[in-house]
Amino acid sequence: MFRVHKEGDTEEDFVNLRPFAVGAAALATGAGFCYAALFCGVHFLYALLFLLPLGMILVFARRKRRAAVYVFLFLALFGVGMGGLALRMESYGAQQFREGEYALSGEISELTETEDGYARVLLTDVSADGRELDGNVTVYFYASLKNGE
Amino acid sequence: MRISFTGDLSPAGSALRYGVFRADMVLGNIKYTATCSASPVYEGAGGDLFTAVRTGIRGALYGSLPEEEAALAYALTTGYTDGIEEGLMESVRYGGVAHVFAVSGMHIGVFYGALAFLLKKMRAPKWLSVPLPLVAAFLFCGVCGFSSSAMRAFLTCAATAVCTLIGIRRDGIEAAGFACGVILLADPVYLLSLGFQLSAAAYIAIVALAPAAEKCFSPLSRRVPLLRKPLSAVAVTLAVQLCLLPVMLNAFGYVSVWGILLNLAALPLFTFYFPFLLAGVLLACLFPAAASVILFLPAAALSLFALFFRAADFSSLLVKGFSFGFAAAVAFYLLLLLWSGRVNARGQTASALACFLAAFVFVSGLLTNYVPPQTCRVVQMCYYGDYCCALVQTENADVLLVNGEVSSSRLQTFLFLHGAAPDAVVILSDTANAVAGSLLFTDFRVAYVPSDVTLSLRDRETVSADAFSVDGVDYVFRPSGQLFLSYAGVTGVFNGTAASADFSLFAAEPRDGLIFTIERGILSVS
Repeated sequence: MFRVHKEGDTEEDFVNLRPFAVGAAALATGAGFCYAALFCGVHFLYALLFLLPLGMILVFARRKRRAAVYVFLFLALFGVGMGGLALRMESYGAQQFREGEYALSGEISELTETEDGYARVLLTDVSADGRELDGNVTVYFYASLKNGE
Repeated sequence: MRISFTGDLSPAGSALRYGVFRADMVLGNIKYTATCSASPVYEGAGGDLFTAVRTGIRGALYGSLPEEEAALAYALTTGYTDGIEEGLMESVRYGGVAHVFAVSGMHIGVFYGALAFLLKKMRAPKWLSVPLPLVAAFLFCGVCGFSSSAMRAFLTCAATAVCTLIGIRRDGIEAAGFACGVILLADPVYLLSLGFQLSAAAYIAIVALAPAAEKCFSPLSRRVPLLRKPLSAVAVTLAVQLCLLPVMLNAFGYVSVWGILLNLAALPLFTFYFPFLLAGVLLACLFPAAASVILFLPAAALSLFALFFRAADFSSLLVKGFSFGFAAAVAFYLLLLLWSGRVNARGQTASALACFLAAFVFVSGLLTNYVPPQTCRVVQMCYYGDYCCALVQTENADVLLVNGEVSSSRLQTFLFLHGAAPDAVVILSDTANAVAGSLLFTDFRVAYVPSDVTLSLRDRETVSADAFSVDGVDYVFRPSGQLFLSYAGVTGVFNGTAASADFSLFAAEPRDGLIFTIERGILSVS
């Protein structure tokens, strides 16, 4: 009944014939599902409700090779998007240093000035009390950055 | 350049805070914040190439232009808007043209297009005229901090350039798919970044939705051929605004109606102005002694821009007061997809589907913004730890709680975002008069402060009391500086110590229903 089409298409397909657009949509949907699962209380298993019909299409559409390729591409990139975001959140959540006073040292990567007169500095390659820090640090201090200082 | 200092280090905590996903923190791998408690020691010089270029541009602009013009020019060329005065920035946002300061696809497109045009005029060979603008655009992205919108635009240009080079037909949607796919493969967190969402939605609107919008005007443009181009521009602007509607409402709480009109003027003006500004800034960096002369005309244009936006009030025509829920947003985009004509549904099927989706958007949006009877919901925000606001919404009243000194523009954004018009405000800080001053733009009828604080407001009722009740919620100021709230037998604490506004006690997600319970000293949301 429905097909997503572009000008010049002749086949009655229901999947988008643009591989990059399908790939991007799959990555975005996968990452979106992961976000919903991690932060909105939606269980990861709900993704199956979405993926099962696609999987069935993959099985039944083996003879329509192009449709099957697109469904496979979507499923694979959906997994990449979902897994990628899950890994990133896992890695971000692991903050090894506790709150406290440290001797800090780092490379200035970015300098900006906030509206209330504070300078905001992004430090990379940071060490705290001589130990390597597991992430970057934003530092606030009172200073003017005008005139390129 | 390295910096060493002694300071207080704090872990940044969860990526989701107060219901807002901090994509910039995750993308930058910023896991900690620190404050500097002793004078820092600097070692070495310079930094990476792009930081050095930005520093050079900042120096040339601030050294030769008045502060406001320098801040505007710096924002236009690098995307860093920190120096722009908040009132002016707010007016620009209400006018719907803040994207000119975001180094968006428009900047990269104009930059790439101007260079490609120049090389074409110089009759440069294809092997040079295609990659050279791309390399230059990539370096420009670096100066802009490789922001997601700039990179999206760069990759779109790259895809288009490759198509030109190998001689295949260009396809806007595929170029968008390629750009978004590469960015999401590099880091899926970009999906949650506002810059990426706005940039991708705007570009997809231009390539996929604008032709359908243009069709709506075709009867008129056929009758009056002179109107064809202006109507085409209106269609593009309209398509972009429609596509951005859910994202903008979710992020800022409003969409500018003026934006449709102002963008019609802003886009051609910007396309003409931006290459000249960039060339001027480049020359100013190379010849700092002559910078003020070189930048005289671009700065004069920026002065006019600032004057215009300061004089005008664009806040009167905003679409605001509600937000899309997730389901309504998805249905809204499906509706746009149907309208774009890229789904093969015709006649009654298309009409039925459109009606269903429209009804779904309406009902789902209504439910998202509805506070059911006998419930109380709490939303909140914070900013740099200096202040905290909470909004207590019940069936008949919205009550705004404020702790710390908060600017009126931040408050306005907060209230827009939640579609709230507070009937009462509760001020916890000891600078109540100053805080109340920044609240006067709202139509609140009564302000509550602790009994030992005197508040004088013209035309508004003020109540100094330690306990009071608004629409079934009981509020009690405690001597510790905290505010206790009780509703339906459940008590929550809004911590109002002036020294440190501790917001963590209100861990409720925005728009969560009731609310807060304390067990064994730990606040949990139910």
